[in-house]
Amino acid sequence: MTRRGLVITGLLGAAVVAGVLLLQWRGVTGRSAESYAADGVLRTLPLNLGWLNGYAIHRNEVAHELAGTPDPTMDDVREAIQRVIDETLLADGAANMGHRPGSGPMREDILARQAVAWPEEIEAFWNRHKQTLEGEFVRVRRAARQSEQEARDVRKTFLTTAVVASENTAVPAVEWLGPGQLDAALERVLNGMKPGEISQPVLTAGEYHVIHLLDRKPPSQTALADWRPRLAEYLRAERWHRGRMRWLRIREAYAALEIAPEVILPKAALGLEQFRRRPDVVAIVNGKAITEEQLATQVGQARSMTRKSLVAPMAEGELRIALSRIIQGVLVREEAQKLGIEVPDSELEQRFQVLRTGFPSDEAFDAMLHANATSRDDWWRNMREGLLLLKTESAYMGRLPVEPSLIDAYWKENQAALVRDRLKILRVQFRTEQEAHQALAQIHSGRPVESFSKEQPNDAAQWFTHDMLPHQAWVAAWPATLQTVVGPVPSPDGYWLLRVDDRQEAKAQTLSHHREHIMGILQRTQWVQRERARWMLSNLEAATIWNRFDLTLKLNQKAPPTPGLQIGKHPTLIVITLEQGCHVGVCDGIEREWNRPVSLQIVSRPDAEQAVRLWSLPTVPWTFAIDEHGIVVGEYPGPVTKTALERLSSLLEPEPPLVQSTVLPDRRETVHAH
Amino acid sequence: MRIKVWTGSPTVLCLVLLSVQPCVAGYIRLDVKPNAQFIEQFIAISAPITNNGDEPAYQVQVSVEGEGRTVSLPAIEHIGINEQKTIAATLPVGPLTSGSYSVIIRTRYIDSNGYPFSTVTVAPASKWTNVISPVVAVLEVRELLLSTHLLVRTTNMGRRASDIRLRIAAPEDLIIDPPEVRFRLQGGQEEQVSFVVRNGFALPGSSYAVYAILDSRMQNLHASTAFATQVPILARGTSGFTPLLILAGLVSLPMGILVLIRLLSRMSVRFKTTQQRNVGARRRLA
Repeated sequence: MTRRGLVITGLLGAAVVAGVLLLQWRGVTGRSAESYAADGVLRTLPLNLGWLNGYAIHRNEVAHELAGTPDPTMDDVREAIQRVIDETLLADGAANMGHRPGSGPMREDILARQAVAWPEEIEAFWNRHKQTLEGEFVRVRRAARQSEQEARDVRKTFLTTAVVASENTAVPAVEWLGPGQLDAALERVLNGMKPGEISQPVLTAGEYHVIHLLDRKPPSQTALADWRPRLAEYLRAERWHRGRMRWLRIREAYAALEIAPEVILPKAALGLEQFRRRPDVVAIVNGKAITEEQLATQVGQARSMTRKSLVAPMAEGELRIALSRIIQGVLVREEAQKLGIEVPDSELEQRFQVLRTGFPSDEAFDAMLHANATSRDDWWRNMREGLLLLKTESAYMGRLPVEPSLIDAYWKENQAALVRDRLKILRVQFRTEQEAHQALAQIHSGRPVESFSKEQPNDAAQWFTHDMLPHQAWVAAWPATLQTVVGPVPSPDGYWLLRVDDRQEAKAQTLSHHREHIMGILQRTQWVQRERARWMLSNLEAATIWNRFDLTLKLNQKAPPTPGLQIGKHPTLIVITLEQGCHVGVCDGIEREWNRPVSLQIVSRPDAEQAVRLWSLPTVPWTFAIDEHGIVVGEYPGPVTKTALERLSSLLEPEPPLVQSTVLPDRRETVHAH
Repeated sequence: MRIKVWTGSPTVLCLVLLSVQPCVAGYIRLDVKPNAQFIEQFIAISAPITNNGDEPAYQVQVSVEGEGRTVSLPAIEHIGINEQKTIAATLPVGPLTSGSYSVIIRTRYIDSNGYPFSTVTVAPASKWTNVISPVVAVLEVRELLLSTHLLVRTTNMGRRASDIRLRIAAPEDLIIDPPEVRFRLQGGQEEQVSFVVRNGFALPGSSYAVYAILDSRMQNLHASTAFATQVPILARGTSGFTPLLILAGLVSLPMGILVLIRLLSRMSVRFKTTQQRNVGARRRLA
């Protein structure tokens, strides 16, 4: 290379280096999302984070999931791995059902085909929403192309091809479409067309569409038959949405899953094993078990509050709502413990006495509790939890930052309502006038007022305006000398002694007098509007929650007698499916090829539909392992695989089960409750 | 110049006097409390509309918007004082993914003088599950005379990045620019977006509800949350021009008086001169 060439190369190289440095300084170099995520804890983990059914869980894949997460923590990594596991399981299940990525229907639509929608459910839905489900149906041929020219070619084909010949795969099929099934722009074009017309290419959603309108059916002529296919699809999709989490968690529990030991990942298999061993437990929250009895009590109380029948059967939705309340209660108690918050028995005793005084006798009081599906013990526990929740929330609420400008704005808007004559009073409550007089005598002889108030709910002096106190109390307190005690004053709950600590006239008040109060109002508003939900959500996310409704369907229950099946004499595996074929894992000859000691029975038509109804299955297929007593000891949703059958079979054979664990987990292993 | 001062002073004075006149006109307040429910590929909306003002509303026209589609309902001829009318609409939205969505309800009406007004309300609707979005917003807006800025401070409280579509739903009396913005918020990131709010034909002295709607996706679910604020429209009596008008009046009033005095003095001089001339003439005649 000549000297001149060397100089040019050197200059070019320097320019490139300078450019890169400049770009880095400006922060515009194209760093991948993975490289950002790798800055966190992920960099310390191995390249291969584990295996799921033979697929490697690569660090880059997890990093991609973490894109946009600043400094990922190990909790973030666990969540990301969980998402990768879910995606893999869904893709795996859909692939079994014949889904090919990038072609045909969407993956979720394919998976939703497992859900069951019975004709009577469709009809009931139609009857319930007939008023809403109205609109014109159109019979059309339609096509979408990338370019306008291609769309024009399709239009020519429509012009030259008869509708009867459109079964040819080259020409789009004729279909009936209902309201809302077309893009809004296409719907507008269609509204201006007459039957027999073909639209010009319409550009919408990045594609050129051509529509051939063949016929119209006005709303007055539409009936359930027209709506049935899409209503069935909708109900199946809804059922799939509701059962998706359970489908995922159980399939995960039976999957061949190995995760690097550095990542302490929640294991669905471990959770499932806990429920298999303890049928009375409905959830395990950070190692604490919630029993069926607790859940039943919670449901009973909720029903009595809404005046619902206490003996009606409990639906899963109702149980889930009640369980989520109990779980939240457990998490709040943990938070309270972290903050050192307690509710003393004396406080509860006083509240109890206030409640009790409203009833003539203990019997009347207990009868009221019984009518509300509760007892003294339950009341005591619920009140403690309620107060604990209030105090814990107040502690978090008090930490919320409030901008001074917001306080100023609130003051400007509400000054007239805030500025009122007020008194700072320490209030002590007594049951009888005599007790109050005795206490007053003691106070006059030197006993501090605080010694009476410390065991009462309001043990600190508070600001009161006229409307917050009985008129008699206000009239007595307003002219009193500061730091003197007035009373006894009759009150709704007994007699009060009032120590007046401070007095402010309305005209003398400024923002500084009300800043704390306004801050409290704004903090409460912020808390109620959004922070409470977020706080609870983050508590749920950080917790280890094993929810029976997400991990089991019929586990530990007695199998219902089903036509065509032999249940209860010998251990057996049964597959309940409405269809047969390799797409649901039931290929021809599967029973013949089965060579394990446990028998395999596949419910075939015509008994299949009845079996699905008897077992109340939300989706099909399901495979169950049933022991010699007819009890379900294992279950598996979705297309069945040989591995899953073998794992279920192993539960019925003398060999040790899949997971050995008899100790409740004490570490944070998360199976999210959804 | 002299003529301008002469005619200007009373004009400005009148303006000053007019500007401090109290507003005695009646008002219409239509409270819309919508309820939206997903039914198959539709959102069914029902909303009682109550006139809590002291003047009846006429030609009340309600339209419902959501997911790119709009449905207009037949006009309600009249909603009297304290009267309530309930509307029901069905919005075809197609096969949406599950999650939470926002439906915009626009109400247009006229008063007894035919002056047009409009209000907007946002109703939440959930398909199968109510998603709590980790992205929140705080709205700040100043009083509006001709133009002002609406600041929307968005924060991603979650750990994961989120693609946001932020749009403003405002009554037609106000013009919002741009109507929507799309951006990405990293976990924990805060972003402030500014919208220009122009006064189309908003009534001075009233305030208009404006909503910022945040749409995002959380895994496979759609999340939509609306945050509201009030845009106060400055009445002429409280406008920023009032001090200027008062100042102009204070300056021009003495000037006008001076001009008047000067004119009168000239007239009196002219009168005196004429008198003197008359006296001289009489003397000459005598």
